[in-house]
Amino acid sequence: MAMLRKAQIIKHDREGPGIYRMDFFSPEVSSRVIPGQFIHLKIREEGYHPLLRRPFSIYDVDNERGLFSILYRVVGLGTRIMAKRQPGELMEIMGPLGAPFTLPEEKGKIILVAGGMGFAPLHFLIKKLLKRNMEAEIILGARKAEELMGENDLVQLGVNFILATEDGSRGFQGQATDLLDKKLREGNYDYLYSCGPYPMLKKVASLALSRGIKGEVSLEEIMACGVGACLGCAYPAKGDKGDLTYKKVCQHGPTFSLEEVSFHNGPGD
Amino acid sequence: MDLGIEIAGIKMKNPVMSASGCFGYGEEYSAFYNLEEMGALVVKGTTLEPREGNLPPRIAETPAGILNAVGLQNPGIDYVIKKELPALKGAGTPVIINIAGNLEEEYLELAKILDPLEEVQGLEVNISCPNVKQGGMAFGTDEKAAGSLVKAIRSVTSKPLIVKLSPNVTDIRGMALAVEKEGADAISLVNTFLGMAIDIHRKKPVLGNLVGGLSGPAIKPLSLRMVWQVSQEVKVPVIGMGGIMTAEDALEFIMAGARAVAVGTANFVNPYSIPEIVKGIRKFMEEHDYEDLSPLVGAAWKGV
Ligand SMILES: Cc1cc2nc3c(=O)[nH]c(=O)nc-3n(C[C@H](O)[C@H](O)[C@H](O)COP(=O)(O)OP(=O)(O)OC[C@H]3O[C@@H](n4cnc5c(N)ncnc54)[C@H](O)[C@@H]3O)c2cc1C
Ligand SMILES: Cc1cc2nc3c(=O)[nH]c(=O)nc-3n(C[C@H](O)[C@H](O)[C@H](O)COP(=O)(O)O)c2cc1C
Ligand code: FES
Repeated sequence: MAMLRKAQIIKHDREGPGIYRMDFFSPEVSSRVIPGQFIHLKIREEGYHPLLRRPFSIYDVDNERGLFSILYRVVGLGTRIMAKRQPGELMEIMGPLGAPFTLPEEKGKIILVAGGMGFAPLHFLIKKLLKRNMEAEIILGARKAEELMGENDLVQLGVNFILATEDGSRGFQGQATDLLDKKLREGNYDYLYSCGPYPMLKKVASLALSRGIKGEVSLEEIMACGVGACLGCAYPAKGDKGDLTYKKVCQHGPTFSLEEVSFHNGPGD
Repeated sequence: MDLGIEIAGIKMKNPVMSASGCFGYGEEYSAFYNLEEMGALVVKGTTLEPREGNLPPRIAETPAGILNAVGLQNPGIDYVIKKELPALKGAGTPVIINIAGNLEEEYLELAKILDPLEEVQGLEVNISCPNVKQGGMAFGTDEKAAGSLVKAIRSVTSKPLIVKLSPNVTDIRGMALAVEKEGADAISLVNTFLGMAIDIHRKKPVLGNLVGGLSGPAIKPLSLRMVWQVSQEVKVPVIGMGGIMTAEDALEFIMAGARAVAVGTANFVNPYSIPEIVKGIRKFMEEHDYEDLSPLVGAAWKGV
């Protein structure tokens, strides 16, 4: 199983302030990857700074054209270098890696909650859910209107989405979790998926679990190897016997069930 | 041409091993290549009881290096013997278990448990982990403590005994001589250098453990110097590591006096690092008409 390959950048567009979408040609990846999985991207071909690869969730797949896409925000050296790459250039990718989201077997009402860049893996997921004729809607949360992303893609998909901005510059004023609380009070949901910053995920998990709603979150942790060999990406989670252990975000995750993750003792606590 | 070497009675088909903690138990990288291509496989530091490890974040990148504070997370020796070692039986490469603990008794118990196991070709005693709060490190920084620990372990095992030293000492030669005197068959140099990084926005250390061990290209000149110094002092073979990314790096360590090398951080960047380094060493030997590695070991100090 050769998991390492060079892929050509086909398209590289700015989607918002410091936010870019990169489309790669790689039929091997696009035909295999499942929502929730990620790729480990080598930033530079030569040189040791930055040294480590960078993980990115799969945002979209176009199977017919053999393309897959990532949506990323520039936050540091690696993503700054990425932002300068041009279509036609090659980048070395490892993957697809990680455990995907599980798709519910029975039909039901599904709610997705995305905070900021957490939208990336949920977009690919929602496409798959719609393909299976699942009833899904998504809450998109951001600090302000400019940071909301993917609206056009969602309109194209024809999916029901609700916006929330903390400063009220677009949609519901408040946090995505305030909106989720409201939605959960109003409607009956069977399953939930979420990705975003830890404080948000923690609130999402407690809101959902208190109503007995099952679901999954996608976590982020700094990674070194990306394949389970270094234990660098560990996150506190419940083991088989309910005991607290560390699980590897790159291998057991990045997707975890709501019950499994322990949002105590995590970063940000 | 022969890349084969022998370390403490362990025959290896080439001098390139995995560095402990950077290669799990081999399974993950066997998805990339046949582990037979490695000189030897050194597994993650293993303790008597399972260890949970440190709070995240455990990794912070720094220029040309990484800080890690994994904290010896491992499932404990019983689990390793039952679940991990059987899978390595047919690996086609010598398996070396890296052992760690807080107390002397823990090291002794581990050595006793592993002594009769055929599938284990050697022990690497980690007296140098910078990421565990008590013990471990004390053995790594005190010549007397290190010597007496090695002596005690030597008395309970007939397995080849490799002692892995910490670079966080003033006199690495003194440490090496102390463990050689008490029965170390080989010396691994080096573990990570204690360091840290601070997140100026949160005004806090980046790592959950506050401090961590630096590895990768950033430490290569330091680890190379230590291999150079120690290999001229001791008679037992030295296994060099610390920042090896390429065959050229590995050859530097060999010329500095290492009989074998170990590759850690490089695996994270390029999962094929180990077989590519083996290939590069072979190519160098071909180009320079070397039949075997021995004239290259210490070539840099033999020449001055
Ligand atoms: C499974 C997974 C999927 C991800 N998917 C996406 C995605 O789809 N889009 C996207 O924009 N980002 C995603 N990330 C985060 C992305 O990997 C980081 O933003 C990126 O590695 C930062 O690299 P840098 O060199 O620009 O920043 P650095 O200079 O390395 O760091 C800048 C800041 O970003 C933080 N950071 C660095 N690495 C990570 C990381 N792995 N996770 C979280 N924070 C990090 C650092 O703590 C620091 O505060 C994902 C992370 C994981 C673990
Ligand atoms: C993530 C990580 C985990 C490590 N775990 C161990 C360990 O369990 N036992 C040990 O003796 N050394 C451990 N080390 C140290 C390495 O084996 C090696 O000595 C060091 O990283 C220097 O080599 P490198 O620069 O090639 O990585 C670890 C290093 C890293 C980066
Ligand atoms: S990043 Fe190495 S184990 Fe997950």
